Amino acid sequence: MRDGVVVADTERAGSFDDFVAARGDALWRSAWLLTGDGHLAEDLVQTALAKSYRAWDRMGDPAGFEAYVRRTLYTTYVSWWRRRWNGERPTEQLPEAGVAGPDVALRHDLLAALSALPRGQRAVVVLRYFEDRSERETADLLGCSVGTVKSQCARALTALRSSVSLRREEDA
Amino acid sequence: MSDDLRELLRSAVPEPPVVPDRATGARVRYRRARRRTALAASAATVVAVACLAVVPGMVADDDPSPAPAPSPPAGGCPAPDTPADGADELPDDPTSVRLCPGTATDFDAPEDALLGAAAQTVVALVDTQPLAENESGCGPGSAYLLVFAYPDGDTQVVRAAEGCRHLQVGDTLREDADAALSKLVQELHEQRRAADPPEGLAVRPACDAVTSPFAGISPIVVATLCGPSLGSGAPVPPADLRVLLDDATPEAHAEPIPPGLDGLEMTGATQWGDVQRLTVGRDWWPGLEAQEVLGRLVAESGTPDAVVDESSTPTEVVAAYVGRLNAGDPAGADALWMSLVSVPQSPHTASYVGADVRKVRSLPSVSAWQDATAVTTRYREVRRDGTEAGYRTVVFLLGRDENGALRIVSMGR
Repeated sequence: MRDGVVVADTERAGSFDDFVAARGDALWRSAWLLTGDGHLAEDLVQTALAKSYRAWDRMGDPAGFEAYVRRTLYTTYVSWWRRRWNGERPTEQLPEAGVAGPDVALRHDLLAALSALPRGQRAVVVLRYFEDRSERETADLLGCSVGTVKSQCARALTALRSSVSLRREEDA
Repeated sequence: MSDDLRELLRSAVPEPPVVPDRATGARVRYRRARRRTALAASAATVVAVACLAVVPGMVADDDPSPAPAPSPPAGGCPAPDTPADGADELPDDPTSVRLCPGTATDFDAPEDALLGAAAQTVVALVDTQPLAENESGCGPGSAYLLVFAYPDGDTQVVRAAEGCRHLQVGDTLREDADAALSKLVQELHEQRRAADPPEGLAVRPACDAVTSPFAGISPIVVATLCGPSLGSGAPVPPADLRVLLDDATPEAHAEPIPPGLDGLEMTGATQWGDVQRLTVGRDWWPGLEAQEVLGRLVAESGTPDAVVDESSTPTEVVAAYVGRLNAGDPAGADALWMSLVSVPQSPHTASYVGADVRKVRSLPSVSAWQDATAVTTRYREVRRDGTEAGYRTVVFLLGRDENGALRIVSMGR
């Protein structure tokens, strides 16, 4: 019996590891746009994975599990300050990818514009324009109404349009 | 703009770092969270009755998936992981139907059940729902439970399946869990309209209280303002609450939200005990008058969770003192007075204290205490009946005690 449990745990861990290996980077990209920081993005991804870990067995398929993880990631991000994020560093070294030249300026400008948005609006922008989610899917993921998504999105776009950082990018 | 933004977002994201231990890190966190959850659950059994509404929120924040052991019931509810049972059609004429949290969605279950003929309308709606064509999208968890009670003492549990919006009735899957929930909400609203709310349900909620699905049905009557600087939150005085609630309409105001107010949350309870939360910048865009009230509350409510040590400034000590009073911690507030020298003059009968620091002046001529300092505040107290005398100037006199800690010596009212 004990051996059976060990085998089951090992299999479970193995398949979970496979999922993380396959989809971890995609989750990280969304988390990076939400947080604007590589360390915090990794922290957010690992937190979302940890919160979802128990659901791995019962979700069955990786696609369903990924949707579950993403919902957790976004709701965790939106309630970030209430949990008094510790900013844990999950690994010793998390090198930012080395990028030079125009990409750095672009990233800086985009982050400046995104960071001026309230957390909910920023989440809506990433879901709608980075993940290409519909308004309904975005509402479901964030646990709010479609009307809220529409209004948040409209406000976010208005703010981004008037952002000095992004206007500079457009002018260039 | 939309296409440009898509392109901009895609091109700006850097390459993810190589993190070979990502899955291991997640598992470590999961186990750590489970240990915290287990501690919270064991503590909850000691004070089960008082904390029923709070414990599910604590558990959910650490781990949103169902706990291995049945959670304590809330408001007469069964454990969230209770399976659907009974016949494939609900029997008619229940005595009541109660809405309860499922495993996938935690919420503050209403204290009151829907009774009699109104409960029968929910039975009729559920039983006439078409059978679901497939289980596509259904997760193994439940969004909510409906618990029907019958005159012979029997109950039947119906599950709203997670993810697919279907209802599990007995062994069948029926459509439209949303319609069933809407019906129950609508009928419960009507039932409440014809009744007086019971005493004692309107208790000021904690910042992390789990919210109710009954938002907007009844007005908030007591509230806590929550934000990064407010720690465990500050009570919202009744007069200020009226201004804020008048402002908190779905229509957005045109005024931009100052950074210090963005993300603030007002967590309130109705007379029926339903917990609701309004987040500034998410579902509430306060107008100028409400912004002024919110800004004032943030400035004057203090910092209940601040650590006071030798490095604390006079302003921080006063803020911590006021914050502890507002957090219902009079002993903690009194501990900030200089013992042996002064008797605390804390306003223990006040339901709210506001002290906005206006001036800090060192008093070198006062030699009795090192670093003697006068902190002048714009001060007010709200009594337990909600009345208040208005703002006045109060000067806190502080000095260092024999241990070098800055302490309050007097409050000059």
